[in-house]
Amino acid sequence: MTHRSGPAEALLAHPDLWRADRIEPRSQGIGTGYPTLDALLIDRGWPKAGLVELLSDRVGIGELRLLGPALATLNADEQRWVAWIDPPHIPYAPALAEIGIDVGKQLWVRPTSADDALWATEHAVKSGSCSAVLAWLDESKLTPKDIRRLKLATRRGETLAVLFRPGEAARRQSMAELRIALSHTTKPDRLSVEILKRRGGWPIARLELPLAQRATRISRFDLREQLTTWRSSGRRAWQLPRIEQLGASRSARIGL
Amino acid sequence: MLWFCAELPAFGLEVCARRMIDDVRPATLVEDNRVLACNDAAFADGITIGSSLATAHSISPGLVHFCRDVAAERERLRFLADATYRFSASVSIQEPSAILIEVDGSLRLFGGLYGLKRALIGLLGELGHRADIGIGHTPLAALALARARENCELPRSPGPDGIKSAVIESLRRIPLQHTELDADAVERFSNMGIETLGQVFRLPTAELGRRFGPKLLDYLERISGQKPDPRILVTPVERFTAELNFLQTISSKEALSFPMHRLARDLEHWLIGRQLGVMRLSWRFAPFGSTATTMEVEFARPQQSNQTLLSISRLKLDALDLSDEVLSLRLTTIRLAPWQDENRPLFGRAELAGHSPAELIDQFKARLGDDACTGIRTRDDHRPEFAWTAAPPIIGTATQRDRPAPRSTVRRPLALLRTPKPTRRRQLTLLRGPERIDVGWWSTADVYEPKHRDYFVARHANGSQCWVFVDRNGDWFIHGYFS
Repeated sequence: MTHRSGPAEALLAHPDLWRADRIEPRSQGIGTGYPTLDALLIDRGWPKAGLVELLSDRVGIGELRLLGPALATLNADEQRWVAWIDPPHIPYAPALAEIGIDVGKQLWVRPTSADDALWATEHAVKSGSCSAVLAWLDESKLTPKDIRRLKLATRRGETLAVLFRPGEAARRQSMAELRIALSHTTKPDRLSVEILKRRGGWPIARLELPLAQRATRISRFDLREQLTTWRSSGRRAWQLPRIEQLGASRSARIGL
Repeated sequence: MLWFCAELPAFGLEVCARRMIDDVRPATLVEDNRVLACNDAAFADGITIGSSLATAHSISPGLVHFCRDVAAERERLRFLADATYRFSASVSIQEPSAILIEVDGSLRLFGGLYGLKRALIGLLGELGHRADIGIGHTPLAALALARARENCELPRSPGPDGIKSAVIESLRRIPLQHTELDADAVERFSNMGIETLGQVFRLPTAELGRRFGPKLLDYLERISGQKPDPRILVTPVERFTAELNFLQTISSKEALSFPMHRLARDLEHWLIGRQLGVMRLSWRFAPFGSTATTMEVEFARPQQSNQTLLSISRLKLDALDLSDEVLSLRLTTIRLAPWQDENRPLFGRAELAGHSPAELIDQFKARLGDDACTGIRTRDDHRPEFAWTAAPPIIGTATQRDRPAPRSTVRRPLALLRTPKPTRRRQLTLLRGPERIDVGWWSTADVYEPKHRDYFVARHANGSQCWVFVDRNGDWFIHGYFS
């Protein structure tokens, strides 16, 4: 520090002073697979050891597909498990394999009580045997203390912990270092993302992400073949349900 | 040939003291109303060996006294022989309280004479026994040196002749009461003014044989190595069983963890000696006067470490209903498997390297129940419900990557409902489809009734993207979510 600079500069140069605009992006995170999202996160992806909350009121809007690329990366790089604690539905192996997730590394844990679910989550996180832990916990039993414990456990186990919580949890305080509210959009295969809390930056209002999908579109040939079988089963063409999607509907018209 | 002898001077008391829950109380071994041995706490209280039991009790009111339990000693010695089997294949028991090990072939592996001696003392110490080690070129020489606590100066990397001459030199100094000669012979020698083995060696053999009989000559030839001394070697037992009978009943699960730790540690050393890991073991908690409770613990892969064995057992114990106070505890192995240590990374993640993937599964199973934790697999079946299965998790570094789904033209939901949920057509906006899937007319009774579903990717009115089907009756169901 030189004497020539003014008192304000001297103050700003003080090492204890934290300046939001000077945060260096670190790059030891797990890439989310969505460059737009990566650019907003301080780790340039999901934290390798940290607690993330995904808040949404609906199942099936693309919350798992948001994590898909990261899980595929973790499975390819690490030998550790990915633990699914009490998911609301069956983690469907063929679809997981299709998006590049190694189903052999998934652990599906089905505790019978909320206490056991919390125990299993904390235990999986801190054991160090999991690269990621996805947990669906009972919101009514979840206290800020539990979340704090989970966050500390992520450091110990070097684990990415993802909590799926309802949207109303946004009003509650949380120690999680990244909180993202998810909602559906008007278009299919797109997800609306609102970052409620992130490290090294302000919340981000709304962001639409096109969801990753490895599956290809239905080709015209397939569709025609399917329509043939449809007809041969004795149904009339007018009984066919209407296909709204643009590409598919066009080919459907050609096929007919 | 090079023999190690581990003589356990306080063996009788150590075996009995295992029945106490804590080590801190003064304890003595008593024979004919006389104190035969004391533990450290009893010594600290001022009890001397040879004093009467009444005196000992008046000096130390909290004193516990035991009588020798020969059967338990024999069993324990047998266990210790199995545990020391890791040092050599030639292990022999010398009753009442010594183990003889032929170590000629093991010296290099365990770091020479002194490295091996340290390892042996360390192992026995961990198992709760103080040991005096004697080294000799014959079993009897090693035994006599151990009993006399004679530390012969052996060269660090000895040749066979160097050891022999050094051992014979030390043997000469040994008082006769430490040898295997009977008390009568020792007394007769003593009356003749002969106190050490060296003096006996100097006497003419023929005269000795005439006065003391061929038994003495035989002993002298065996101890000096002139005559071979074959030993009966221990064959390790196939199954580990250990039992502790407590002095008083144990009512709390926390207090049980101390004796459990003791047994688990014994098991660990037994397993190391046999190069085995345990896959399934059983604890038996026996109360006084009612039926025992048995608790079986299973491991996803062979385990050796007592911490693992205990931590999983404790999780299981927490869920166990132990209504009665426990008086006796037994640990038995049910299923064993060859031990293979895990591959650990050479660099980095040192703090995580100690964690094994199997341990987590064991802990989940112990606390949450046996079927609460599974892996998932794909299956070759075109019916959506059967294209996956829950299976035991694959453990091991070489997890085989599942083949990606062969049909890449279709999309499958990441979350599948256990039972399809009825829905209404007007809530759905169809995006893709149809995909006709025959759901198995062959598996139903009415085989002539074709059964198929037409699947669509659809968007529900609430915003979720789901996988729906319409059956032949025109009813719509949600079968999965593209979550």
